[in-house]
Amino acid sequence: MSRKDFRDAAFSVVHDLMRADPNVVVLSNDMGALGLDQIRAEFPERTINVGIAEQNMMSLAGGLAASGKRVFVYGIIAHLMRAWEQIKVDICMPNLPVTILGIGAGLSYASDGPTHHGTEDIALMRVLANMTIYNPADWVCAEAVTRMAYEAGTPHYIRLDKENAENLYELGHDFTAGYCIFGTPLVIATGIETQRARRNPGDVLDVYRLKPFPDIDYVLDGMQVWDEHHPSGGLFSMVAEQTCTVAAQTLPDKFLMGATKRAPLPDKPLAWVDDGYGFPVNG
Amino acid sequence: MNLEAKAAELRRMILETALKAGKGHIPPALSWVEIAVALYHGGVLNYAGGEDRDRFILSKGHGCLTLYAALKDLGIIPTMDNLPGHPDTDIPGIDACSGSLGHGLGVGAGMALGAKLSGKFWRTFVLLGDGELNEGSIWEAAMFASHHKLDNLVAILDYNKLCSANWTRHVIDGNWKARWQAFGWHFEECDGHSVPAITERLELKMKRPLILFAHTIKGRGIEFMEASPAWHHRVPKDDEIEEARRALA
Repeated sequence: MSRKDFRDAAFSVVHDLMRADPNVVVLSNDMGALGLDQIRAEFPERTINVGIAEQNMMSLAGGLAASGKRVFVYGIIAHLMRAWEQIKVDICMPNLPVTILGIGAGLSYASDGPTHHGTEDIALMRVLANMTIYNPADWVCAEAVTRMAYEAGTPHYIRLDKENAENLYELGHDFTAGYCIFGTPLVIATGIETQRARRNPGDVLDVYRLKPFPDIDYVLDGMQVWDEHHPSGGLFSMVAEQTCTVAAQTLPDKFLMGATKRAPLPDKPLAWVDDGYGFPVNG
Repeated sequence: MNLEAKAAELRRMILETALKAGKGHIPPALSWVEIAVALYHGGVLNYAGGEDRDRFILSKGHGCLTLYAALKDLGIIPTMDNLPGHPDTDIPGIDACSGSLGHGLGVGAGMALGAKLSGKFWRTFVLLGDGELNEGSIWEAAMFASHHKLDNLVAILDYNKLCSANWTRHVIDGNWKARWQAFGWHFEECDGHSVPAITERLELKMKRPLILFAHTIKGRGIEFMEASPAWHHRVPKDDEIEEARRALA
């Protein structure tokens, strides 16, 4: 067991990636962090403080990625979320290799007031098609998922608690499942709440990948969700959706893009939406 | 190639595509036809260079009928029919998704910065609408681009003085030239319906980002649509159809 700051863990991986791949670029909105400062010292041209301009930062990230770069964007979660539409249009729609490293999950910055609380971000990010979301519960997971995001080459949001905590996972743990069961849990948790649950009651089901939501082979009845997030759209909503027995006819989790697949029919002008999207918009 | 004739041909393609679909933003497309011809037919934009091609972003995505016409004419897309009303990257020849205003300049600045970091010499061109200049994100990108001396970034303003619902001067007025200059850009302006004038200015090589104010007329070529706030996304009907066709014949 050893303690490490989640953020510095993620940055240590980014630092390694920058040494190995000249196309890795880091953007931040006038933020400082030990790991980021170390990266900047070695790679000043590829560690860019874009100024306090989050919308532009996300658009820049999309443009850089479209020109062949692998981009990491770093900032405080509550402030990154103002650029939601830039994340949607400039990163997720073209499905580009941009990883957003957000610091300040949940009430990490509790005493800084509600402008700094990251309590709606999971809900905002999970409705974006092509987005993968990780919410690591320790630094071992933070390191692993940062590398996995780079290797995947698609939009990722890694939600980091401002925490210096002991590891729950052994180095080398395989994080592809999206969740891990410790003991015989009655608590299902994510991020820092998994740390709390490990202390008491001790047994916990840790969901570190929130999107795509893992196929959890475990009886969820009677379990309690712990999540430092608004009740809507976070882990509680996800578990509720998975255990709900009501059938749903909703839009699929993808953008409806590009050339339409067939000409409109006289009585069904949006027939191509049916084909491409699997949703009966023509009634 | 006769570029004036090419512009006239693209105008007819725009009108016929919108008439066939019964929808589409015709006047915002007609506004920048000569700009598209300068870029795609006039030799300004190296669109066929693979990874080292120049990039083009239609930040005013609702003007896409012109872009589709140019891409169709060059054989990059097979048809203009059944394409979305704002372009996205699933369509061949489209470098960025647009339709929500205020995104293109930041994405373009990212592409230009990416080229610099890679030691590449291709350029990025972004077409902006003048109503779009109300978006704050444009100015975030403008100050970033000049600070980083992105001399491989060119913005072209389709300066038709109209936004969707009104004349732009009645919505947000101001000295736009002075604003771009204050943000550190090299400023040029010209007749936006003169292909040679546009081409000449887009080939300027400056040491900072370039903004070209192309003075245009929204709806150019169809008199009853020209410079009319009523015609942002109306499609001609009844007698208007033949009148529009005659105007572009």
